[in-house]
Parts: sequence; structure tokens; C-alpha cells
Amino acid sequence: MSLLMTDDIFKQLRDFIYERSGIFIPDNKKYFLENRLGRRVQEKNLKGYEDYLYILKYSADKNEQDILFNLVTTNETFFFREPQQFDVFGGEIFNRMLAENAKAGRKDIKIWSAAASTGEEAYTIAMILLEKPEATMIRKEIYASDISESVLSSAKSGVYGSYAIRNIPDAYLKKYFTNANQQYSISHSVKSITKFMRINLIDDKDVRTMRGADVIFCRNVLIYFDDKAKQKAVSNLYDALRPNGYLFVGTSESLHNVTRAFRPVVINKVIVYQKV
Amino acid sequence: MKILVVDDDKTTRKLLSLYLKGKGYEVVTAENGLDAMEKVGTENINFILTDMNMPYMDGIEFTKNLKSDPILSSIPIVMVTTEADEDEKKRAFEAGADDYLVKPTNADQINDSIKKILKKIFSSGGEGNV
Amino acid sequence: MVKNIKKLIQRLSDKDPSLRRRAAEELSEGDERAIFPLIKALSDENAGVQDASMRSLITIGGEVVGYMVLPLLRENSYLRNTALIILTALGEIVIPLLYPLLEDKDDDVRKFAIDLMGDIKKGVEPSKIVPFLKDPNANVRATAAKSLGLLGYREAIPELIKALKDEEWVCFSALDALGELKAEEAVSDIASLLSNSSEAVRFAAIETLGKLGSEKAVDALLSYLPKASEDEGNAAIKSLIQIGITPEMADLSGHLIKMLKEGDWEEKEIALKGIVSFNCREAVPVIVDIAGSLDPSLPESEERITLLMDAVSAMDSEEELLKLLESPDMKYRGKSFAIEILGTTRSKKAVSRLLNYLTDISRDLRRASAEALGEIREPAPTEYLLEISVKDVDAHVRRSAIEALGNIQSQDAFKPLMDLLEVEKYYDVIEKIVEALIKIDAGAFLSNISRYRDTVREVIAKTVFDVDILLSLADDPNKKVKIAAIYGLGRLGTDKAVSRLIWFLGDADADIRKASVVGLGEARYCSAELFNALQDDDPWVRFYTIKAIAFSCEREKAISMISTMLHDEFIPVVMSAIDAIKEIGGSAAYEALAAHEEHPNADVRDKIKEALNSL
Repeated sequence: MSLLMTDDIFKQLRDFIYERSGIFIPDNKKYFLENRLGRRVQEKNLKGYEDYLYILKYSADKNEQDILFNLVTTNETFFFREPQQFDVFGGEIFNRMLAENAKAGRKDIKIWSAAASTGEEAYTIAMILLEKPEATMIRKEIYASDISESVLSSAKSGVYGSYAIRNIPDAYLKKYFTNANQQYSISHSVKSITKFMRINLIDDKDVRTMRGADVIFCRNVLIYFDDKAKQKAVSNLYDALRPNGYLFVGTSESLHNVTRAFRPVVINKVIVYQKV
Repeated sequence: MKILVVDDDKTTRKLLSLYLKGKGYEVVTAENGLDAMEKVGTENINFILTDMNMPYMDGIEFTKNLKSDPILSSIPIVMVTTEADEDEKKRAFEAGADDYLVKPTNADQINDSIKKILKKIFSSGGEGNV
Repeated sequence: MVKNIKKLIQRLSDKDPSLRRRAAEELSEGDERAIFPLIKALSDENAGVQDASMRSLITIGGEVVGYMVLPLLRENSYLRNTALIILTALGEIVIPLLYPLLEDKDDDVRKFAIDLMGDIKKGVEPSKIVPFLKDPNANVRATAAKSLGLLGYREAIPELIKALKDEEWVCFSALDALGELKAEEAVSDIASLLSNSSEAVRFAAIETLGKLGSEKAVDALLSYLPKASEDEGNAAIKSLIQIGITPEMADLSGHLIKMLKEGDWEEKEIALKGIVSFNCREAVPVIVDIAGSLDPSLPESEERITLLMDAVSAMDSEEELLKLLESPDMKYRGKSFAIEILGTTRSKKAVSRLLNYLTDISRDLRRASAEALGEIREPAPTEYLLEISVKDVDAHVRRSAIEALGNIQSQDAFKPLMDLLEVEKYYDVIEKIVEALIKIDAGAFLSNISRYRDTVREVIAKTVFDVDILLSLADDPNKKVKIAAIYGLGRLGTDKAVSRLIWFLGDADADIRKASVVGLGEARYCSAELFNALQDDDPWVRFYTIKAIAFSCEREKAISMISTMLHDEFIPVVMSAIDAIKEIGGSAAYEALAAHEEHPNADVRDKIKEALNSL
């Protein structure tokens, strides 16, 4: 059973979501919000979207905002999603990163998974770095952030079903997971170098807590933003990177009409953006 | 042969693509220099036609970037622009353009330019990846 | 407004690019003093600084920025293009500054001005562009044609038709514009271009005819088809399908499948239209493949998948879909797409195949198969579905299997589902079990409800429509169950239900009172007790009472009662009152709101103003 949304409430909900998160829902996508929020409205025993809007706007319960952002941006996330990107990260980009850091006298590696959702991407990065003998003596920090607190708590627990792990190479699975009852728990060695934090990408204050990242992964987030929010988010990512740092965006996303502050570098047909 | 057409104007991209397809070339398009750099890296491009005035990265900057890349510099690049000015033409050649055509142009003129450049590359024994 | 504007401006020449960039960014909150330094900073050697300066100029905005950026149009191509981005973003406000540029000697400057007008649209006087269809420079003429199309200026159609006789480059833009303007009066002039010597012009003419439609366009396209080259033929077919005509041709399906495979999304949509009207089954594997390649987490995919699904469902595609399920090359997303269609089209032949997929490694396939089996409603899969509903590791798959069992309504499932109900952990799965059991045997399941645990009773209260069951659950010791039952009574709305709801208005617990108010609203029952509830101590009770009154009571009375709430201390109550009054409408509503235009709270004032406007 799906609830219908009036145009007026759609506009208000859309504006609310946009103001708080930068996620832009175009005029013709009302059904998208209906699909995503209908169930939540029923779960909360509300009479309709209007009441849901009031709760979001006026109730002291900020939790609900979190749940909302999470519903609107549900992404398919699994380990090693878009493996070509991770190949390039673990290969050429990793080598460049080591060389540049050695030259600048930096003794750590800082990677930011900026739309971490339930943590699969951040843990994938952590495992790749742990597999690098050259990185054993280097301090490794992986930051995983998301706009929604509720997905982060699931990320922190580090327990996954059989679906999320389907792309993990066997060697990694054996080494970094324990399997009980088809539930896969990620090992302490991976968790211990991964830190979680709530960051709204269009909020300068939030992003200011992240500085000096070598590489940022921000995949399949910008598609939810309109031009203005995209510019804001990309500018924030730019500030969070160290000079010449690298940014990965989703394979269907591009920065070519967003900013000239990043240059595309193409490695094995994978596009990586370098801060200039 | 695969040709990359770079222009921020949709109508122009389409017209140039039609010209080239009519002459039997395969065509890929990009809407500015940055987009073009991505396409050059991900598609196997043999030849480029680029506009000069485009947002975020213009044709001159794109040409300079391309010509400073050890591998990609061998791809021939023709500037196709509304700028008839001699100074602009000079800048384009300085940046590394192989030819310069003033809009409005047509299918034959473009094809002649492509042929002329390819002939030059082959007769000089250059290693164009064409 | 930033405090230290001078300091920030100084910092634009700092050695450190990240400080320069920060300064450029912070100057976005500056005043007019920041404009010139930012324009200079556009030429900074660092692209990050350039970018930040550009964005800050856009943020500062206004006529002065526009005026000061204009001279950049004569600078090098980077500055020129940056100026174009800024001017486009400034929008309407720069339009008056552009008119003088139309008289400029420099061809490019005239072209830029016209381009900008086409992009900005708002505030443009399109008649001022028309003369430029006769500009001495062909690029300017082409841009003028294009912009007139973008501006939707139909008055220019006769001039645009004349421009079809101009040189190729201009003619091409004019065709584009005429298509944009849906200029049916241009059909015969465009049709005559089909004999033009330029291939590009012929091609564009074919496409434009497709956008315009009309009988003449169809005739022209059909008579051109035999003469057309392969590419032109494809374009002509595309145009005909777009108009709604399926030409009778033996090898049409080949054309359509090629268009479907290789075209952009717009072309794919057109090809689909043709494929369906032609019942071209050979296209099914291609469609399924496309559906399988779409990433469902991208916002536009949902819509596209639906479109593809509608197309396949509209053809007799059962055999093709079954064959695809056997294919080892098909990716799991494609398969789950095929399975979903076999379900909605209730393919009995698919049942045995789907049973195998119930134990596939992919969760999506297991889930899709369970759902499809539920739609097909053959009793045979019951035992398999039962096994899945208990054993699958994924709760979503189990939920789908249970739902399917409910749809199939086999008695054999009753006992096992009852057992599962006792141990099930997940709320949404419990919901499905309850629904399924009611469908299979409501009488047996709903006798002696007290034997079930709290969550199950709550789910029952949310699901049933039986007044006696709901009345007894409304006295349940568990509060959640009780509230669910009260909502249920509202859903029923019978006299018996309503009198109990009124009784609950006196409950000591605010949540119970809230539920009964919502219930009364749902039951559309207006009463004095409801009016009293407007004075409830709990703000959310008051909030929902307003809604209930708006739903249930007669207009005048509702407005007079609700407007007493416009000075409530709890803002959501006031907002809800405004919305309710606005919704009721009429002159009484207007007066009630107008009386409160000077409300002390700014949000409320805005809301009232907005409501008054819409009334």
C-alpha cells in the first residue's frame, strides 16, 4: 500500500531535505519520495506525509532526520564495489601516494570514505592497505563518514550478510572475516584502523574536521545533489585533500562541469581526480 | 578511426558528428576540455576536433595538456572555432594544434584537414596511434 | 557580512595557495569592495583559487558583478569562458547589460550575448534577437536561430523558415529551433530539405519532422524511406515511431533492435515504442540485458526499469523470458527483472524454473522468485516456499516467501506459519505472517488471540477489520497493542467503534488520547468531545485534534474552532491550524487567517501570508 503525497507537501519535504543535506529531488520525482518514505510513515503510525514533515521540522527527535536521509539515499553497497577503482587505488595511486608522502616527509596515510553508508567501502580500503607490505611501517588511518548516524552505527558493528561480501576475494575473506551463521564479522585488525564520524558534505563546519586526506572516496553521492550543492560539496572535498591528493567519484559521475580545481587523471581507464 | 569532437554547444556537436559519420568515421563527443581529457583516457581516440571557447577547460588549455602528455601527445588535434583572429590562430598553434579551422566549416573541409594531417604523420614516419 | 574584508583581500596575494583560496571563498560574503580583487584572482595561477573566486563572484551576484565581469568577454579564452559561466549564473539581472553587446563589432561578442540570452531565458525580449538571423556573420545567425528556439519564440517561425535557405551551418540550427518550437507550419519547407545535397541537413530534417508530426511529415518520411541511406533510414523510422506510425517493412525489427542497443536513452524509448507495437519478441533479450545493466541505486533507474518492464509485459514474451533464465550469460539483475515479469504475467510455465532459483546464491533472485511464485498462485511450490520462509538466511527473502504463501492460500501452510509466528524476531516478517494467516484461515487464526505474544497482538490490531476483535484488543494490557487497536477502531468508523474512541478521550495517558483523536478523524466523526480535546495539555493531542476536526466537522464550525488555536504556544499546532484552515478554504478561512497576519512568530507570519495568497 503506498500513500499519496500532495504537491504542496512534496515541495516542502523536498526543500527540507535539500536544505539539510543538499540532496536534490527534482519536480518530477514525487513517486521517488513516496516509494522511499511511504513505509516509514506507516511504521510511525502517522496519517500521512504532512505529519511526517511536522515531526521532522518541529519534534525534538533528530533521529528521524537521520533515518530520512538514509531512506532517501539508500545505495547498494557491498565490498569491492567497482573493483577496477580499487585496483587503481591499490596500485598506481598507492605508489604515487607513498612517493609523494616520502618526499614531503609524511609518515602516515589518511584515506577518507566520505559516503561510507554501512562501512563496506571503508573496510575494503582498510583491507587493501593492510595487504601492502610497503605500508606496514606507516600509520594508516581510514575515516568513514556519512550523513546518517544510524547507518554508521551499523558500520561500526562490522557484521555483514552473505550479500554484501559476495565480491570479496577468498583470501581476504579468510583473513579478515569470521563467519558464524552466515553472518560475517570483520576482524579487529581492520576495525582498529577505521574511524567513524558523522559528516554532512555540504556543511563547511562538519567537513573542516577532515584535513590532509591523501585520497577521498565519494562515490554515488553527487548524483543526489543539484549543481549548487555539488559545487559546495566538491569545494569541501577539495579543502579536505592535501595538495595533489586524489578523489574517486562514482563511475557514472563526473566533475567536468562542476569545477576546474580538479584534473582528471586516467589510469587503466579509471578516472581519478587530482587536486591542483 | 575514432574521432573525439569537443564542443560545449549541443547543436555543433551534433552537426560535426554528422559530418564525420558521413565520412565514415566513428565519433565520440565531449562537452569541454576536462570531459575530453576523461574521454581520451577511457576511449581509444585517434583524432580530435576541439572548439576553443568552452567552460571549465577551454580548447587551448586542453591542447596544451594533451600535448604535454608523453603518450597522448601523438593524437592529432584540430581546433574548430568561431575565432577568425590571427592572434588566436597563433595561440592555437603554439599550444600544439595541428590545424585550425574557422566555423562555419563543412564536411569536406574537415575531412581534407584530417587527411592532410594523417598524410603528414605517415610520410614523416611519426608514430601516430592511428 | 565578513568583518575583515581588507585583510581577506590582502590574503588573496598570499604565497600559500590554500590561504588564497580560503580568502577567495570567504569573500563570497563580502560586499562590492570584494568584486574587483576577486576578478583579478580569476587569473590566479592556482585552479583552486580560480574556482573559488568564480563561485564567490556568483554568490555576491547582482548587477555590479555582471557589469564588471563583462569586459572579460574580450580577454583570453579562459577568462572569456569563466565570464560566461558567471553571467549565466547571475541570470535575469544581466540581460539589460547584454543588449548593447548586440551592436558590438566583434562577431564573437555578439554571439556570446545571444547565447547568454538563450541560456538565461528569463527577462529576455526575444524580438530583439530576430534581426540577427540576418547578421553578416554565419555563427551569429546560427546562434540567433538556436536561441530563438530555446526562448520558445513562435513569432520568429516565419523568419526561421527563411533561414532554412541559409548556409548549412545556419540551416542546421534553424531546424533545431523549429523542432523545439513544434512549428508544424514549417513541415513542407522542412520536407523539401530531404532533397538537399548536404547529408547532415537531410538527417536533421528527418529528425525534425519526427518532432513535428502531422500527416504531411508522415507522407514525406514514408516516401523518402526507399531512397534513404542506412543511417537516414534509421532516423526516418525513429521519427515515424515518434509520430506514432509503424511503417510496414520486413526488416524493421533489425532497425529497432539496433536503435535499442546503440541509441541513447531517448532513442531507446522510441525503439521500445516500436518494438511493442510490432510485438518484436527478438528484442526481449536486449531489453532484459539493458534492464540488468541499470544500477538500481541511481535515481533515474527506477523509472527506466519500469518502462522496460512495461514494454516486455506488453508483448508475448513468456518463451523468451524462460529461455533467458536458462542462459548462463545473463547477469543476476537481468534475471531478477525477467523473473518479476514472469510473476506479474502469471506464467505457469515458469514455476518449475523459479523453484530452482529459490535456492540461488543471489538474494535478489531468491527474493524475486518467491514474489513471482506468490503472484502466479500455483499451489505446487507451497512446501518449497515454506522451507525458504523458515530457513533462508536473509529476512527479506523469508518475508517474500511468506507473502507468497499468503497469496497462494494453501491450507498446508497454516500450521508451519503458526509455528514460525511463535519464534519470528523481525517485526516486518511478523506482519507478513499475520497477513498470510488471515488470508489462509482467518477464523482459526483469530480465535483466542490472547494466546499470542505482544508483538503479534499488535500486528493483528493493525491488520484486522473486525470490530469485536479490535474492541477487545483496545483493552489490552500492552500499550502498543492498545494504541494499534484504537487506530483500528478509527479505520472501521462504526457507531460502536466511535463511542469507544470518545470514551478513550478521557484516558489519563496522552498517547491513548492522541490515538483516539486520530481515530475519530479517520472515522470522520465530529463531536463536542473533539472540541474539548483542543484544550488538551498535550501538544500533539491538540495537533491531531485540529486535523480530526478539519476532516470531520462542517466547514464554518471547523474554522471557528480551529482558529482559536492560532495562538497556541506550540508552533506545530499553529502551523497545523493554518494548514487545516487553508485546506478547508473559502472566505471564512481567509478572514480567520487574515485576522492573525501579525502573529509574533516569523515562521507563522510567513505561513499565514503564503496561505492567504493561495486562498
